[in-house]
Amino acid sequence: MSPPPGDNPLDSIYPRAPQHAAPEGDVGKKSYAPWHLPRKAWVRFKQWGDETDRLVRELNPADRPIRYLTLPGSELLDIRVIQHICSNRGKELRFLGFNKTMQADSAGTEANISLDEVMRLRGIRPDSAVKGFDILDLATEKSQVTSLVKRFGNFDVINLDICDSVGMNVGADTARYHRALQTLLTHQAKERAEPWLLFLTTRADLQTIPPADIVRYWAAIRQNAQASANFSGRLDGLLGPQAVNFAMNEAAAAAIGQAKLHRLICLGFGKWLLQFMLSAQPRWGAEMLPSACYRVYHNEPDMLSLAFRFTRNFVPPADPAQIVPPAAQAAAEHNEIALAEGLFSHIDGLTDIDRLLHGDAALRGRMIDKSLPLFKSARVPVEPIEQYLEWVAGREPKFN
Amino acid sequence: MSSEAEKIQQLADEIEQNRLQNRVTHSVLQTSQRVLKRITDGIYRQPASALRELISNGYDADAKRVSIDLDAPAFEKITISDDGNGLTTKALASLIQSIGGSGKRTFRGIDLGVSNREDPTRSPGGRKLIGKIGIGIFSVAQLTREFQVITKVKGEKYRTIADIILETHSEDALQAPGSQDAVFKTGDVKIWTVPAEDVDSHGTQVVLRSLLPRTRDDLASRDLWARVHRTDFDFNDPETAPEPPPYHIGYAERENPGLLLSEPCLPWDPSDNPVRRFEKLVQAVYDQLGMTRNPSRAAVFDNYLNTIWTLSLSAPLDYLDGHPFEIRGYDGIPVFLLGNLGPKGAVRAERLDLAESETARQRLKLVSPQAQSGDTFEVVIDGVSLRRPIKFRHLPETDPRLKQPLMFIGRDTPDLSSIPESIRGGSLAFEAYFFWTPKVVPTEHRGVLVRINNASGSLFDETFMKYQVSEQTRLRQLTAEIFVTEGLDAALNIDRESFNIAHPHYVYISGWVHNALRLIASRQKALAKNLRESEKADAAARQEGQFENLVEELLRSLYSPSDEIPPVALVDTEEEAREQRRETGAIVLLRDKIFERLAQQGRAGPGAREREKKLERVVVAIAKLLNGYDLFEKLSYQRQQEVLRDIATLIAFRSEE
Repeated sequence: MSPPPGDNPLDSIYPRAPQHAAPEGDVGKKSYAPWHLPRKAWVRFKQWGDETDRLVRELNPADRPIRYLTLPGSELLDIRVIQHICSNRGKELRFLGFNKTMQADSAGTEANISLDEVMRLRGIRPDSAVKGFDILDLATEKSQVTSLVKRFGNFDVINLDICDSVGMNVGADTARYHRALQTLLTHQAKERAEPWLLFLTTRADLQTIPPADIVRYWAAIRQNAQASANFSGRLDGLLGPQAVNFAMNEAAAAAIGQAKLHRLICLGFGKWLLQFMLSAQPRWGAEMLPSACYRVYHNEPDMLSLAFRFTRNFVPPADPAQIVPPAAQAAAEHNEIALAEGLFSHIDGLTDIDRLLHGDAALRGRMIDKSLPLFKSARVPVEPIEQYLEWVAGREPKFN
Repeated sequence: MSSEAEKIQQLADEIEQNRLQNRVTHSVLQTSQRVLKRITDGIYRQPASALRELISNGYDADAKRVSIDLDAPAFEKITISDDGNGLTTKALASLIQSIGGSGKRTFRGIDLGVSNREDPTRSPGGRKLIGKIGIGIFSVAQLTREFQVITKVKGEKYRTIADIILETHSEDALQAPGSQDAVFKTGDVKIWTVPAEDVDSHGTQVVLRSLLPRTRDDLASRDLWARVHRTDFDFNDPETAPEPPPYHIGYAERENPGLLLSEPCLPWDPSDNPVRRFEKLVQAVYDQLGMTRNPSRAAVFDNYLNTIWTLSLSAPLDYLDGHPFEIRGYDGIPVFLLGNLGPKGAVRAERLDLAESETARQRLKLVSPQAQSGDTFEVVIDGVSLRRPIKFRHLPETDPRLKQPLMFIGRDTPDLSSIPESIRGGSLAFEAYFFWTPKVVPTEHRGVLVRINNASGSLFDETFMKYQVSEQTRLRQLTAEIFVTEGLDAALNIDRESFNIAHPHYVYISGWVHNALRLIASRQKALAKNLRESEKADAAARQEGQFENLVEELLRSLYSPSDEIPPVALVDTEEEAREQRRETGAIVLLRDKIFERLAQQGRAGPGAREREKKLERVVVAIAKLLNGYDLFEKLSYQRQQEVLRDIATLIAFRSEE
């Protein structure tokens, strides 16, 4: 057994034996991956792209770049999409990415080439970087990741596409996952005043979100249902009649079934975000934006692609003595129950991207067309196109 | 075609063929010269040296910007990216097959696309080249054994990637029979290409993977942090647990790079733009003036921030607040022209009276840094945009007496035509400045720094090229730079950090510098003398003013506010006295009468005249007072003068004791 690192004095003199990080065999051959499917194109263009474009137009910063936090795959596809949007709006882009596979040899080389391509795109700030750390290290206060995020400043858009990052399995350690998110949300709440976006792609099944977490989510959901008839009614729509009296425990959670489970997780997670941000001072409101789901491991949707928009709650100075007669109603503070009710419309309207594209060939075609230049820029082999289409057809879920 | 040129062409052809077939080309880095193999293996002493070489490569490739990601504070890998011309297949093949045989500054360089068609000493875009022999890329051996070069030429539809592994030099292999004639393998390389949609892009990215433990420890200031974090320190011995420097990038152990043992403390805010960050880095050192007598950057920063600083001194960059030659009349800094060496020998530094908006550059027709119009070059390290960290304006005032900084500027183009070409070493031309300020901040900027083609590998030479005269205080107050515009290059050692001090160009420049120091010393001594005298005069005038005020105050109490205080005059002749008495009714005293006893005593000697003047003023004041008390009323002119004569004699007697 080799001694632990640091115990052998030779470790500080000799590095590991150097190894090439060159591809073997045919260098033009590159395999397809799940993130090359049209449904991911829908997420990239329709959700991340359109919402980011809206925010960029709204903020329209004059003297600073758009700041973007991401967990890119080695092809940096999302960064290329966001760069395109910023460039079209005449804005520079400064990004900070985390991809812990960056240090590994083969994926590292691919990422190095992609980074070379991306850094040469118009308007990319030279202080952009992709670092080889795990975003979940945000759960540790004194981690490199936490420090890098703090040193970067705040972000206009945070895109936590956890499924795209190989080896980024949260596993059963959801506490670490939630802690990491808390660090990020706290950082944003503290350092930012303007609205910002959070995109979150996460698995929504019992393998990733354990029943114990669902029980905890339920406690918070039930509080709202008890406090608001409207909320309770919307909950019935989601889980069935008298949902407020549902006896949630780990066994019950495990028995809910994937068709309902992914919606419940969506609601629970949204409510958690809402409560957390509203507890900050000054308060932040969270609004769920049109979100989506698709299938990876189950016949029912098990992957959520969520979008949230955060806005700081401005409370104007009060005049309790009424020295000046009230001219207009002061803006109402964010109300947690009302905001949480807003989640339902998006959960009800959650886009099932697989079904959508299955039923809308024209939309599917447009997603493929939009992806082709993106893939070419990242050297994903889409010529001849038949080979790619054949692969897509073999990977898309079938519906009767 | 030489065998070396053939080998380069063969490799270029092979890369090209394999590109068409999507195959990897395998080659070895080699040199036939044992000495060169040794050189490429470790002539650089600090990580900053290797980074400096890579920045120079970007500059020579006409890059507008070089961006560096040091991966701080983990320091696992370093990425250097430029937007320069990129390497053609043949230039890359040349780099691999011919270490130390760079085409730069040769006509072969034109073929490789690394030199200018009209002037091989310039880059294709017209910059004066910094590098020349082509070992710069191998400076990375100081940092790692494995690295990648990703390069793209404008107009090409592909990127080329070279994955390189460097071998560690061993003398063992040289012991084998016949090894003296062998080709020495220095490394192994795999080259392939990938298609590129961004046809117009151009530039080179160097990724230094798996940095060597020593490099990581060096950049991370491991020695320092090991002492800071040690737990076995002796509370009675403050030396055992030092404080970290005021500013640092934090610390993570090499064995656990994801976890910080110390969090960063940087002089800038996350919202600061890259230039502002650098300004704050420099200000951080100046801010130490309030806390320490002589701020040094070594004490203020960790190795990481010091590396950034070192690179900012070496690269061909703009100054933080303008080039020293751009000093204008309205900056209020006295500018002097330094004379040159020669048979007549310059005897003094002449003051240049610059007009308000006139620059020293305009007046003296100075050319450094010889940048082409519109050419820009920026180096960004981890979001910090580097500038030369040398300030000439808005300096803190530290010395109570001689506050004003002084700028001495010189230039020389010695006529070497009478010297045989074989020993001349080529032509020589340079410009220079010496900036005197009471306190050079940081202390590491004391001395002279030599730039060739606007770049430097050396830091400030505190000995001023071994100036033997003991002028310690003055030398510590000088920052100087020599901008060599022609020559000296051959005197630069292979590491570009030191000079061959026997080279005639170096000998000439050091002689010029020593002469300049003498001129500065004598000019400054004269200035200091003038200053002392004028300060003395000021002090005397101040004292006199106070005396007059006192007399005025005493007299005012004797007269009503509307009354004019009668004057008292001292004259030399009886006629003058009579005339003034008649016309003004004033009290008029004859100088000879008042000071007749003093004259008899013989009061010559240094300062006698000054003392007399002073005494006169006192006598006049006393006369006014006596008159104010009406004590002169009953006295004749004669008696008035006798009273004052006796008083003056007594005062003079006491003041001389």
